[in-house]
Amino acid sequence: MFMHIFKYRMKCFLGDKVTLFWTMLFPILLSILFLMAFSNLSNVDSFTGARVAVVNNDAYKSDKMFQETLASVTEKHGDDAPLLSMELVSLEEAGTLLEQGKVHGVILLEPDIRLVVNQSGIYQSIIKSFLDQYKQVSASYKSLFQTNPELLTDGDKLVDYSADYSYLTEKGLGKNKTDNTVTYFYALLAMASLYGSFWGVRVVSEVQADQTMRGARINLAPAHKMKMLLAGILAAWIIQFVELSLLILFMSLVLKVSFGNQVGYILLTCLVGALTGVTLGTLVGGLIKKGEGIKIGVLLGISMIMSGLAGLYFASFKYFVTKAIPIIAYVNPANLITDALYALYYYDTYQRFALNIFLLLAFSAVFCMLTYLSVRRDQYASIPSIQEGN
Amino acid sequence: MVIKVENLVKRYGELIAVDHLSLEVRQGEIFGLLGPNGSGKTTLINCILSLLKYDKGNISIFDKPMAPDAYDIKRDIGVIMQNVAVFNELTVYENTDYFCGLYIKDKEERKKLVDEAIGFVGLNDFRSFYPKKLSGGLLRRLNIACGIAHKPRLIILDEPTVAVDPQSRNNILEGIVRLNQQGATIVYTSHYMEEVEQICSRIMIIDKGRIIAEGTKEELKSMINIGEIVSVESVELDRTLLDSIGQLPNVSQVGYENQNLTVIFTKGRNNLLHLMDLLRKENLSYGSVYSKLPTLNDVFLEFTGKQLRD
Ligand SMILES: Nc1ncnc2c1ncn2[C@@H]1O[C@H](COP(=O)(O)OP(=O)(O)OP(=O)(O)O)[C@@H](O)[C@H]1O
Ligand SMILES: [Mg+2]
Repeated sequence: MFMHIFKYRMKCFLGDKVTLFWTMLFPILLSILFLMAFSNLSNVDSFTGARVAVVNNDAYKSDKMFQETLASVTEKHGDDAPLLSMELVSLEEAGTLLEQGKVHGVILLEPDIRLVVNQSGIYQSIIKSFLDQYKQVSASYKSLFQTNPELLTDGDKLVDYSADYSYLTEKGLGKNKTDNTVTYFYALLAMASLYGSFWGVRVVSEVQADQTMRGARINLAPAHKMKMLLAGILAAWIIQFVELSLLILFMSLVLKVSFGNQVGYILLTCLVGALTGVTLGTLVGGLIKKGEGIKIGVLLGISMIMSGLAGLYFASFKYFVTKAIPIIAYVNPANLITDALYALYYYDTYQRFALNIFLLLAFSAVFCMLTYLSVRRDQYASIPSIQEGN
Repeated sequence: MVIKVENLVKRYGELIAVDHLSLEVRQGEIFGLLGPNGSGKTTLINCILSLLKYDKGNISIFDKPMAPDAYDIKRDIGVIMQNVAVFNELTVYENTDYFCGLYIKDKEERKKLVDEAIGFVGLNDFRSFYPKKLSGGLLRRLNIACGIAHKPRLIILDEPTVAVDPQSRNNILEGIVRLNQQGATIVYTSHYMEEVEQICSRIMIIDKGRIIAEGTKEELKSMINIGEIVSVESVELDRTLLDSIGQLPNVSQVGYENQNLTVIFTKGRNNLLHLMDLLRKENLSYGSVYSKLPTLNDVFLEFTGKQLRD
């Protein structure tokens, strides 16, 4: 019986073109759009880069390390535009430049590094990311020097060591060269995972007598409702997993987005992400008794907010949230998925990855439980007469 | 007793949809549940099937108390809902197989049953069609195939002929009679009295969740005091003439509107003859004359003061 139901659930879902579009084609189209947007962005960059005014005060003059670092990022490497272009100016001049929009930000050492901006945007976030990272790296240098004082005299070694760092990530302590755009694609995959909830909604409405006439008919059959629910979840999960895998395949093979090369772990992320998405959908499907349109609307909203907080619209948002309100980052499944991929890509250890996966599984379990509680009752107070339609 | 309902009460908030209703459906009959829109037919059926919570009452099917998890009872029931309940992504065959598979595990047996059901409703030529490609009538037939493929002993149909073309309607009605002949007990709800009169062996008329009358159609008609209803078209009458028609034997009601005369007679002999005699004596010209026997609509009208269908 389980296999019978499962088989037909698969068939129905695979024939559901609307949901297939939203869970698969739409993310693919969006990823292509992203790629186009980023290639535009890098064209603009190759002319300008982010412009900063650095206040030439005593603190700056005495911070050789910062000077060196700035010099390296403002230097042109081959055809690539420099990350930043800078002007050394007085405090007053800096203020005027910023006001006139001639620079995106002002860097002021007093002696801690401060960034002054008067709006937010991609350039500002580039400068901010650079500074954040600098702070992190310089801090680790300082501890390095404390433990290995001989490095202070060995200039060559120091240069070699610092050459491994790229300045565009918050924490460039891992293996891969950073590329800010990957965060967008990771967040997109997180969004696609949450869109798996659309399947979840279908799974539930198909077994609820007050939601579809098919649900009513199924409730009349001598079959256990939980069995039907599980068969539906399993079918949705498998389909969503395959869709996510195809999305990753597309992004990495066609769009050349790097995901690292730990295929097994990446697939595991898809598998768990798919489960979280589907069970989120079953939960919303069970809790909201109104029409399917409302459920999908709610889920769209949730997915937009969650993947937004995970950096879908603005990569730095993810870092901002993680720093400012870490709890939100931890209870946001979209962020957990993004972060799992991020951790796989940048880190040599699996701790952070494992934590993300664990939290996602925990969420799925909670969603499942709550779904069960909300659909468990088998007699209905009211059965609206529902016209046919999915 | 196939179905026994005692004192059932179902409320939707303030509204009492089923009001202290009791009924019994016997083995082998076609039980008709007749009532106007909103009279509570669907609500009653859904309560009987344990789909709906109800406020009061006892329901047993096959002499066992009905409950949501009474699978042994459910196995023997086939239900055709008022609204079509099929999957648009599955073909005619797959839909029937899916629902049948919820009852019948054995694959071989199921295949046989599904084939039989599709043949039964006359959809053999449409086996691989998707529901979207079927006309309204064919879709209803598919809906029926899905409900009866597992050969239930009790079949409940809730207005299966709504919005169906005459050909499909006849196919459906004949099918129901055949199922009954093959041994199934049938509960059939409708607000079409003609259908109910045509196929049902026993009829219950309900309105506002209450029983209005119950019995065979002959019994129901004998409950009211109408023998026949005579209509005369295009006839010129004045007050005094109308009064003298009212004086004729067995006349219970006279209506005159737009030159059309309607006379309702109680039971008796030669009613039409008396009326014609009078018209001839007055040398009146008139158009067509009809006489018809009372229908269930007249029964309904007599008990509730309103038409079954407006
Ligand atoms: N889910 C519901 N919530 C509130 N009221 C309802 C609900 N379903 C039905 N009703 C009301 O209960 C009454 C009985 O409705 P029901 O659908 O049982 O009638 P019916 O005889 O099947 O009518 P129809 O011939 O239109 O199918 C109606 O007044 C209807 O408005
Ligand atoms: Mg109804």
